[in-house]
Amino acid sequence: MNCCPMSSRIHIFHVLVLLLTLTLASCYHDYCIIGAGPSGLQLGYFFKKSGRDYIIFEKSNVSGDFFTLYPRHKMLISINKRNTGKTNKEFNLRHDWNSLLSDDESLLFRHYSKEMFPHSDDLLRYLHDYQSKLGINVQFNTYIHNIQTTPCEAAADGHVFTMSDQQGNSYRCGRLIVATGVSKPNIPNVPGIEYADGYETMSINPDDYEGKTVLILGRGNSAFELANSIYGSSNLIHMVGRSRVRLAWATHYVGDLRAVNNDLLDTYQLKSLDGILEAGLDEVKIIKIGDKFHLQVNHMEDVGESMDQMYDNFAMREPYDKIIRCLGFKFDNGIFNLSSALKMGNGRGKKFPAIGYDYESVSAKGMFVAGTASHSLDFRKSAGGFIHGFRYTARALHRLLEWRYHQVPWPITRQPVTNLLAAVLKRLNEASGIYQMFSSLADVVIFKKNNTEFDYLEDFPLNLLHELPEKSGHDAENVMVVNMQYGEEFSAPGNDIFRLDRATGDPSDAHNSNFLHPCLYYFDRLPTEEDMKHRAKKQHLPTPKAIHHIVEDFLTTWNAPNSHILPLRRFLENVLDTDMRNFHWETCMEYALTRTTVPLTCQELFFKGQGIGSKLM
Amino acid sequence: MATQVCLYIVTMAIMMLLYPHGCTSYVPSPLDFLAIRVLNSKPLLEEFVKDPNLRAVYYFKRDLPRLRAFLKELDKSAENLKVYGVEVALFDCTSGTDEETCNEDKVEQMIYTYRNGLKLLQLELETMFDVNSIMSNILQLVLLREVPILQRQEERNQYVDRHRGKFDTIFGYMRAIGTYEHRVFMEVAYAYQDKFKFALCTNKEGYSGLEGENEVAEKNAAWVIYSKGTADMKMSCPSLRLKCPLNLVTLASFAKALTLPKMYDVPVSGAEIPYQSKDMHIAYLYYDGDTEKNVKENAEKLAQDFHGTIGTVTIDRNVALQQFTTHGYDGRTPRISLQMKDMTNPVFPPAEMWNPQEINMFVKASVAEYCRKNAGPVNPSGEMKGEETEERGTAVSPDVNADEVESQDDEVADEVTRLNKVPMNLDMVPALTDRTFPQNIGSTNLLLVLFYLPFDAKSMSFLRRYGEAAVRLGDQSTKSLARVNCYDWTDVCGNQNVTIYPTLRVYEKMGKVHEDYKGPMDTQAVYSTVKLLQYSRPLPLTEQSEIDGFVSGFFPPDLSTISNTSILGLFGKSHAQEKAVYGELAEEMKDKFVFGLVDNTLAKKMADMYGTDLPAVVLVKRDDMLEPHVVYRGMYQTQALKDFILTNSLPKLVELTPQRFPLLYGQQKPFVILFTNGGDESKLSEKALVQVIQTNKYKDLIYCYLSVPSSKSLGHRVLQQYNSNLDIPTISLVKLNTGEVHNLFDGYKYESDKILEWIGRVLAGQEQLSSMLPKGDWKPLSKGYNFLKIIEWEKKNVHKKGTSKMLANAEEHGIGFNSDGEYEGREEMGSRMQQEDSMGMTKETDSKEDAEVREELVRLHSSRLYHQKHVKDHSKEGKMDKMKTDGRSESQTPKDQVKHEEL
Repeated sequence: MNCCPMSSRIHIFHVLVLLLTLTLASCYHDYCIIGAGPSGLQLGYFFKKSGRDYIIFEKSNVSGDFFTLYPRHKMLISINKRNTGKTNKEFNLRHDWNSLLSDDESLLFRHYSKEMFPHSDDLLRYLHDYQSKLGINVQFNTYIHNIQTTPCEAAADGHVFTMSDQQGNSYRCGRLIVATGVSKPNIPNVPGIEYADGYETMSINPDDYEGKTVLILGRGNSAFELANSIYGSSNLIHMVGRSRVRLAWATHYVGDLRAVNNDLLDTYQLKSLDGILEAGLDEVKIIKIGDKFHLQVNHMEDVGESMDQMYDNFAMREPYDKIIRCLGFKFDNGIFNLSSALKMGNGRGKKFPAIGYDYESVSAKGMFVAGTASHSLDFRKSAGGFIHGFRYTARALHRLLEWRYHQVPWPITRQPVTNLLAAVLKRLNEASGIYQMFSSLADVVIFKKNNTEFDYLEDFPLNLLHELPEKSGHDAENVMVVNMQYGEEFSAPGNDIFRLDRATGDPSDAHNSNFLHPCLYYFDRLPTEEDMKHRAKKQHLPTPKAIHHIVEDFLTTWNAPNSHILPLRRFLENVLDTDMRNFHWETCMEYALTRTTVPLTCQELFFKGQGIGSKLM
Repeated sequence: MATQVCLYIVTMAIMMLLYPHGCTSYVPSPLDFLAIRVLNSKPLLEEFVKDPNLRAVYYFKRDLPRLRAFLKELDKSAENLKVYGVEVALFDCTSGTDEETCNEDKVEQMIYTYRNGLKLLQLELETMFDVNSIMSNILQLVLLREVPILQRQEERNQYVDRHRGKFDTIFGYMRAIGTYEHRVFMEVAYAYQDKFKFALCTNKEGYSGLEGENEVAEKNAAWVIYSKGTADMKMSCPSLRLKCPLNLVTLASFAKALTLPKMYDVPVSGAEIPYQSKDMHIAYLYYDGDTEKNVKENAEKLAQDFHGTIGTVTIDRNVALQQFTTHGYDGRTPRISLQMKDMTNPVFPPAEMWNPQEINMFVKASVAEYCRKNAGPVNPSGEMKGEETEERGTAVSPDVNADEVESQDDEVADEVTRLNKVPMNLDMVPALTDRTFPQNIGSTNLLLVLFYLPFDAKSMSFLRRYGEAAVRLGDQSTKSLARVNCYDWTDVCGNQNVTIYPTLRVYEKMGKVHEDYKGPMDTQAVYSTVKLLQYSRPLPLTEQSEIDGFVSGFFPPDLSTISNTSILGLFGKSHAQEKAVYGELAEEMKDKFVFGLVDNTLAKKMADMYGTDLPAVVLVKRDDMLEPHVVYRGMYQTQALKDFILTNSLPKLVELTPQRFPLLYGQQKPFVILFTNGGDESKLSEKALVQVIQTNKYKDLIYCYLSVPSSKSLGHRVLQQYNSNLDIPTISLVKLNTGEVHNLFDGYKYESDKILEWIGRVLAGQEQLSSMLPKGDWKPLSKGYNFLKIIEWEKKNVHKKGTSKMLANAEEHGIGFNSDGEYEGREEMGSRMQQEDSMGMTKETDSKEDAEVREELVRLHSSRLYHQKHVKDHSKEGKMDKMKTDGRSESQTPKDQVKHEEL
């Protein structure tokens, strides 16, 4: 009993129980969040706003501790675009990649830095203010470990989570949210890897590289960040990584190499000593000869000198003064008791814990993952690994929890179907969540009352569509999904994104749009789990009853009357099987006098006394 | 995400440098047009449009697949148009020019036309999808005065009358402007404009009264109206219909034949029959001394019926036997033979066939058969759709119908776009922001805020009217009306829980109370609402003059501009409770009616005047002659009093207007509608109806009238549905929910007792239905773009590999062109068209025949227009000279003609 949460049922019991729970209150919480980084704080905000019993454990004494060390050269690559020419606050979040969501307008990152690529200290300052101004409940200096599940019948999931801190205090939590990020340096099992300096500890003083020949392992943003800072002082830099360089502008994935970091591509391609090679690290070893380091193909030793001569043009045959590994990070599973350690993902997602599309760990019910650690869901696709993406997935997680544990359904607005076109247009032109988390979060329109009304759900996880009623608390039969997506063939590392036919302006050719554009899916019944499983590789959703692409737009503003709005109206009309045109009141009156039925808008507006005045000439 | 946008923009900038024409646009080089001139500077443009001949300019801004197809069509048209003196140019707006036209709204969707440097009409691209539509539209402009469009019989008659004794008129009917037939008609008109007058119509009314109007089964027809020979204004001009479906060949030969005599008698000496060289059908009628008179009479009838289609020749038996030996004539008279133009010799019907009807039938059948066999494109204008998809030039799914999908058919959206250039009058309606919104609602007792979304047509349509209302309110509105753009200030609207656009919200008492306006999106309605809200509720009336003014609409001073109804509450000292109920209602219905309150000594006096006691509520209706006021007799409960006001506020005989209609319709009672044009008869009928109402017999009916001021009015269209005879006045009883319409007998409509009887019978189900209203079919007008089908089609028909090859080519040589600079899309298209041909369409061969006819037409025209500079072709000039010596050229030029007409 004393492990159990105070469930709402116990609440209505008598004082005795209340007293008991009060004594336990110090160590029990409905929600425990591990990590007061951006995603932990973001969730904390939502829990606070909905009045939930939550706590955030932070191992350090600051919010966003990761950023005290990283990025090592202190320049964030999340853009801080302060001006967009628009006053629309939702729209402006499309171009603000550092702010968290809140009601407090002073907590926008634009007030913290004027730099397009801000200093990481500004982010620390921001996160500190976010936590303190909003009064988010963080327990600092608490290093949580030994997390395990303890059975408990009264708990919603049949167990609670227990854990301890470095002082030996123990905590019990109804639900656990892991928001620890991905911060453990990735050190591969390569012979001689100990000769390499790590990104986490390497010197960031260019003087230390003066006249040195440097080999950098890795070719992500951290590797290039280092290269950028030292290519003026070093002799030459070689970079080695498994796959070809993935340029963010070609892949549309912000985690890939960003233009702001890619100076070295210039010096490589313009033959200035620096170079980039493709090789898997599992084929090499590092050996130290005197002061110098050599990179050798693994099996060379076995075949001896003769083989060495065969490979006499081996690119990295010259020795290096320094080898630095910039191989990224992985999820730290060390906080868990071995028995309850999080199961990790496979393939691309192997550095992240394995979770479902509802962010719940596959290892334990009631354990959820938020923030960068949940990026397995959209790794190399969308923005779920970054503040501007996970601020929305954190909100989605919160909304899922509200329904699952507190019977608070996903927020909706119920509107008459005559407002559908306007409702969709407004979201297309301002919504930030579905724009940042394109093809991961999407809006869902649930048609109600024989298609005369609809419920509008914002930012719902696309991959949970088949479970919409169970996950959101809203019954649904026929639904329409508003998704943002890139063209199928557009995003890829080697693609020529400047090709001549990269953009189409023809509404009837909208399905061949390459750049991010809206796509509406209409299902006359919810897809099943089977349907979801059998999606083709590049399909975002199962084949719907009807689909509508809105042609990509150079201004990403979909407001052109004939090219955007009219074809969209026709799509909605066909979905609803009714004429949705607006009429002046005299036209409605004429129809009413000459037909036994009138068009929808005459019915819904004119007959209710809200007709549109006479036609203007 | 945002970086991608940025990168995209940077990319664009780079592309601009690499491709001076811009990144997504591509201007085919001037060499790629056969006939269109490409202009890229303002002086060149100015020079071009200065010409006295018609000049057409397309302002090119960006490249679109559809546009490419259009430009190919325009190029072909430009070639054809040269002979009419018309030149076409493309002005390249991407060349960094400062030509203002480039920035005009919708410039990409228009062809601009000029003459003498003056801008003429702009032609919408939507109507210019192929050579036919481009040619016909432009020729219509060229011949604006020469070929008027006359849609009504009167107009046609006036036109014909003007040319009596001078010219015959060729009149055409085609189902639309911009069709193949229209083009043909214009081409022929151009060639024959000095021989005939031309005019056309596109509706039935336009050709009513012409010969064989009921036989116009096809979508086109042409007539000759004999105005030259019918100088007597008292006589109507006879007309004659072209017997074959209208196409270039038939119409051109029709015009040609009409220039020849109707009949020709072969002289004994023998001579060439004029029709022979003219490639015409010929009927020979043979006579001898005995039968000559009879034969010539019959010949005259025949000539009358088939003028323009066949040549009628009378010939003496002996001459025929001697000179026309190959005819196979057997020497009997009277006798007829018919030689269709594809025959070398005439055919003879059975010898006994001689009476005029039989002859007529025989000739008619032969002509019809000939037309059928030699039909041009089965229905040229009907092919448009098929052609259009073929002509796109790129592989496009048949499910794409851009012209249908992207043509605005929403009258409200269309209005918004149409009025886009007319600035809204919003000076009196401040736009609030996140900061000013709370300040504003918190600082005034009354503030109406319109929340709108700029992408929403309803919103923008209301905003314009809202602005007008503010202007009408004048200074009083400066602090009462405001607006919030929900796209600019999504947070403000979100905080106010505004999700429906537009929402007009009324904030009162420093923003503490608010309520949504539920009235019409109309200037007057907003104006009245604001005025009403500005009044005290109820409005205390203390002086007799105030009460009188209140009743007659002059107190408050502008009351009559707001409402035709005044509600007067009369209470004594002991009626606090009733007064409170009245006050509550005044608050509840504050935006609909003005409630006056008299609670001093004058109350009793007023009650006496209305023949009632205190407390009293009197509903005064200034617009109701039948019942200027009603006194409330019920209990003082809010709901009961409210119902009383709502049901009695409208006049007993009410004019049907869109403002009132919803309230009437909501009562779900049958309507008795008087259709009136305000004439004496209508007034009689109205008088009878008023008497009916005054009997108070059938109270569960709505008595109303609908005015029918013209044939274009709403009343006319409704009447048409109810009573196709279009009698005015008409009294109808209609049950709108079931669609049953009963019209009162003509003879009954001036007598109230007859009307009463009739209503009784209708309500008892004893009257036959006059008409039944159809159920509205409110399905979507267009299927839109069915992307599932389009994608499926593309998967099957567009090979990715091919695409990439095309792409490679496009990068290097330009879209649609191969390495030799040849247009590739063309051949593909040609082969597709030929496939179509082999499937029974005779388009290719026809167009060859058409081409020959056209050449001849142009030659004919040129022979007379010797002033025209553009005819430089010597071979043509040679022929022209020859024609002149033939004596067929005339000295009158069209210019003279125009002058002549103007005089």
